[in-house]
Amino acid sequence: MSEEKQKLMEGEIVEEDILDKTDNAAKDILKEKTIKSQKPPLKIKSLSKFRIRTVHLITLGILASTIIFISFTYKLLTTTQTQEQIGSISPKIPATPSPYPGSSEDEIKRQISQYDQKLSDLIPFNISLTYPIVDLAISFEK
Amino acid sequence: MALFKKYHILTLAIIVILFINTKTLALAQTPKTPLVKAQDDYSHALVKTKDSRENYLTAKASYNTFKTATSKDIAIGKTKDYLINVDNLYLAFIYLIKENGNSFNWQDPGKKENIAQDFNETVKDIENHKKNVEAAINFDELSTLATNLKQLADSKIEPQFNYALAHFEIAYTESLLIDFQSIKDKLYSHIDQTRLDDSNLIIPRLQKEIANREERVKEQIKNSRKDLEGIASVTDKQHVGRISEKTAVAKDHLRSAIKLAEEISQNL
Repeated sequence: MSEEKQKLMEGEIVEEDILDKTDNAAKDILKEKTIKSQKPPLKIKSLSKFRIRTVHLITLGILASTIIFISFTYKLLTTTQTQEQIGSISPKIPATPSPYPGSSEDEIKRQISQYDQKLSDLIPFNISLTYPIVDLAISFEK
Repeated sequence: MALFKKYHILTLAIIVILFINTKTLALAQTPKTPLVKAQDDYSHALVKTKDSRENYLTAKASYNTFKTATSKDIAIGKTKDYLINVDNLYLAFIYLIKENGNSFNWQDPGKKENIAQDFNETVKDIENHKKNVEAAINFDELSTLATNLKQLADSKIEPQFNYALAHFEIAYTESLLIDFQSIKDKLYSHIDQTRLDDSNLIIPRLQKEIANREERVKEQIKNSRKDLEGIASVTDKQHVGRISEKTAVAKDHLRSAIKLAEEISQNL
């Protein structure tokens, strides 16, 4: 029997006092546990840095993929579009075309100049194509 | 904040680099024409043949000096490599000739087909030769195979090449004449006949001169064609030279004719 029991018998303290004391002890233990379970503020900071980097890397990856995707899609679309345009222009030729299509004066002048250039740039085949000279005398000492 | 700025600049720089790279890649993917590819292949084959010949000569010198089993094996290997590269060079050359023939319009496509057919036969001979070289195991076999290849080159590849060249010159000149006539017809369709009276004689005079030039071109083509009649291959290089001279004269007439056409276009 403890001192507290004796005090209780003598009427110096009541039961509630003992209960309060127990509660306070429990509260102290709980408080101590809570403090221990909390992480130091420095660790919280390094975790945020890591998250920022991750987010940046992901954003960068998404942006890069989007640009590559848009670039190729654009190229693909423009090629398809050109083909569609070729297809759509052809039927639009008037029903009674000129006997010489593409024969506007400017167009003829352009063709004349192009032909003249072609003749100036001409390299005869016997100059552009020369027969390869190869030494095929293969012999060895016995 | 400084950290954020650093990351933003880095991100932006990478995006710009990626964008430029993508554009460059898209531009670099422009396909080569078969003729350009054939020219590249032939240039590559020439370099490889030259290198393999140097290696063969070094290995041969080493064998002649040391006469060891190892140096003999190396010499055999390098000789085989050289002969295979010569085979590949001839194949690349034939491919180049054929692609030159495909680079313009033929008035007689049958002739082009005949030339290609003859080359296809020669390609088979070269492929067989290559297989024999790969299977060879000694110097005697390799010497014989080198002699065989020389005979094939002298008796078939070179005459076929000369023949093709002569026909290319004629057919190309003919295609140039056709192109000229097409431009001329379009140009003449713009001439206002009502304006061609006594006071405007310049256009009829130019037209007459053009007709004269055209006749001369046709004459040169006809003579060149006659020069090749009944010939299946051309062994004499000078024969090709004679045809080239005639087609060169024809091209000069075409040059004059287009200048006259230009004069008409300025007087319309």
